[in-house]
Amino acid sequence: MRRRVAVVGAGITLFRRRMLETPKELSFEASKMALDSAGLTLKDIQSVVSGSAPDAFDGVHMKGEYYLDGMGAIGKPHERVYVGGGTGVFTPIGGWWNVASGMYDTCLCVAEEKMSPLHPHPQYAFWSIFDQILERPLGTTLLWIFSLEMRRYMHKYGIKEEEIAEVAVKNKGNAIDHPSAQLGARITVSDVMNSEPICSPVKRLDVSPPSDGAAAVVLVSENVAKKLTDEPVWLDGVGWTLDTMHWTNRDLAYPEYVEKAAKMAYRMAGIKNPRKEIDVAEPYDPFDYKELHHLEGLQLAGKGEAPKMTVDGVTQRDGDLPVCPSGGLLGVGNPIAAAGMMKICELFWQLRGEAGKRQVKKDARTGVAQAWGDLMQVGTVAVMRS
Amino acid sequence: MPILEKISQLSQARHWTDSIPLEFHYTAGVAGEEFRRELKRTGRFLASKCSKCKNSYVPARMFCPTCFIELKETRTIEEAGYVYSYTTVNRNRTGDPSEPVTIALIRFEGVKGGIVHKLNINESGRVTFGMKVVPMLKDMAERTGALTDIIGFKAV
Amino acid sequence: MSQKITSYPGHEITSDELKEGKYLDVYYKFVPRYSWAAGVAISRFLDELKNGRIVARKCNRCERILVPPRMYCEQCYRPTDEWVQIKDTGTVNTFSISHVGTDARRLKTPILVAVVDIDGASPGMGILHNLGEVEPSKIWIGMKVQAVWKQPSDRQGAITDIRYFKPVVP
Repeated sequence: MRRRVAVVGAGITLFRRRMLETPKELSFEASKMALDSAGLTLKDIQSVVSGSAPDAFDGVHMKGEYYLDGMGAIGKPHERVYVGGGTGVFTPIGGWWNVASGMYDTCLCVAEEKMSPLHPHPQYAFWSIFDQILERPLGTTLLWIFSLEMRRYMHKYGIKEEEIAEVAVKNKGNAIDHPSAQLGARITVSDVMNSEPICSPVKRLDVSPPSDGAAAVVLVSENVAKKLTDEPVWLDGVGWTLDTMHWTNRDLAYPEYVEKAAKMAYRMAGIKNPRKEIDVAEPYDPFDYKELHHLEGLQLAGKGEAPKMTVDGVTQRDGDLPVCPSGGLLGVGNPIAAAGMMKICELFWQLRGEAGKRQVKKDARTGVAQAWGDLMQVGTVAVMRS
Repeated sequence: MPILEKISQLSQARHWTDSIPLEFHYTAGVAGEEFRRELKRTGRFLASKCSKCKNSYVPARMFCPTCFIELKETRTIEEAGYVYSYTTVNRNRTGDPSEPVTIALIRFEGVKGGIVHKLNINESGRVTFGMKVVPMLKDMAERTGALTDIIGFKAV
Repeated sequence: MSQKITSYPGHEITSDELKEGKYLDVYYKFVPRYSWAAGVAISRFLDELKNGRIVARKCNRCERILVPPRMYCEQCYRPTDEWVQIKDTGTVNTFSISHVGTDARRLKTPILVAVVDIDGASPGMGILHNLGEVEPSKIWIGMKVQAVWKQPSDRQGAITDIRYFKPVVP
């Protein structure tokens, strides 16, 4: 017997390249803010689900056990979930199980990432993502897989770099209105085109930065939600899928794993026509082309059609399908696990009309958040409704 | 159904050797910074007190893990600590024999938490549970605020 | 402990402040070393690379020829059946020009990297490798390439026994 699950509180720290706080302190700040916004205290929380990406970033072995007192999880059932970048949306999915199964009425879900301790650059830890025998000896960098995928996507559908750059312009512009944002700025397509090439066709302004940050939400069951608030946001659909690690054998122009995860979530939420029924979308955008790639995987655009939607303004905040009104990872920042949770928090505020300057123009009732991770293999999707 | 072919001779098994070098610079955190400044300046330990449950914690913390509120009250611990437990280690990190070192968990009366550090046997003589100990500090000019500002603990 | 509680908590610090020693900074270097077992399939793959050949595995049910080879077909979820010699030529599926190294520092000479679909394997079966002897601006998706091998005495049984792939001159 599955119960309905509601999000009743959300909290987020600043996202910055480098923060003073330890992982425990970051987790505390986000968790406390989420609890306060829900009107609950730690005593009301029955279980905790946390998400954080490789231990190598924070430089602490068994990170989940290390930061859990910052999440109020001492003496409570606690699970850490981890699917690389997909963790941010997988964390509330883990929380969803806790509540939907009837085992707990309240669950605190926290995602935290502190990338700054790793020197010389956090990107270095990603080197271990590649196959140790067949790929690392070639001198791999994480950027290779994105640039290879971007090139294939552009080639298959005849997309120009300028069209993809529109996403970076939109998201960084949107992020100016996000209080936690690291890189909110007004830039132009030519700024993006002229920025330093890192790994062609990826240029500096096409990429999101490494960041420190944490975000949290409180999930409760239906009867608790009704007592706490008149405006719960329901977590009505969840889906997740992983693809093979043999990424060189995959069609890089289309994220099939996102499609499968999205269909799972849509089926659960009873959505038959995503393009019509979804009012606002927060797909994962560590690179500008990924937003387009994922929109197609989420069935919100036909294959190869997402760039046109962006150029036509459909995905702006006042458009027919606002995408990343928060500013996404490109604008707000990319602490690996917390970034996906930031999107969940954004949908929470958007669907309640509490997003302030970021509020989308249309009356948003249904939203979808998606995260992606590992070696381009994870799709995690959540559908939220108010 | 298991795989159809296996390696029958060990000489056919290949392996690949490599390392994953990692370098970290850790910050002490918001509470850790205050703790560190006190240690550097006076050689004393800073503890935090929770206004709700009245527990004190050392090293100083930003929040109380049970009440889940921010901790604003601090006090420096003036009194000596006591040996809660100790052990003598004669292996190094890679498991090879090394000079014996005595390590103790030092606690303070009425305070939760403690400090793990070296115990100087020559200065202390025989170690007993509950033995009162104080830190031996480096010169002020050499101190950075890390726990290595303390050379070790000795009996009072 | 924090100086003030704002709506969005957090204390930012800059790398200059860290370098100046404004905040306590504890340094720790950690170099774990590993000896990874190549396993049944890749052990044979590496041996064949030493001989200057690329070998693949076939699944008789879906009839795919898989490279890198594996002892089980991940789609049919059954063991693969036989070894198949495939060619050392292929087609560029996608490529990139990397200006940064593993540690995010800028490289003097950019690295050319591509996914090369190997001839003789099933369509779309690619491996990751470098490209060489070609101008970056002259690479295109669909370009035919050929492996350039190290001298037999220099080969170790590693993916780097292939130095890079170069364009096939028609």
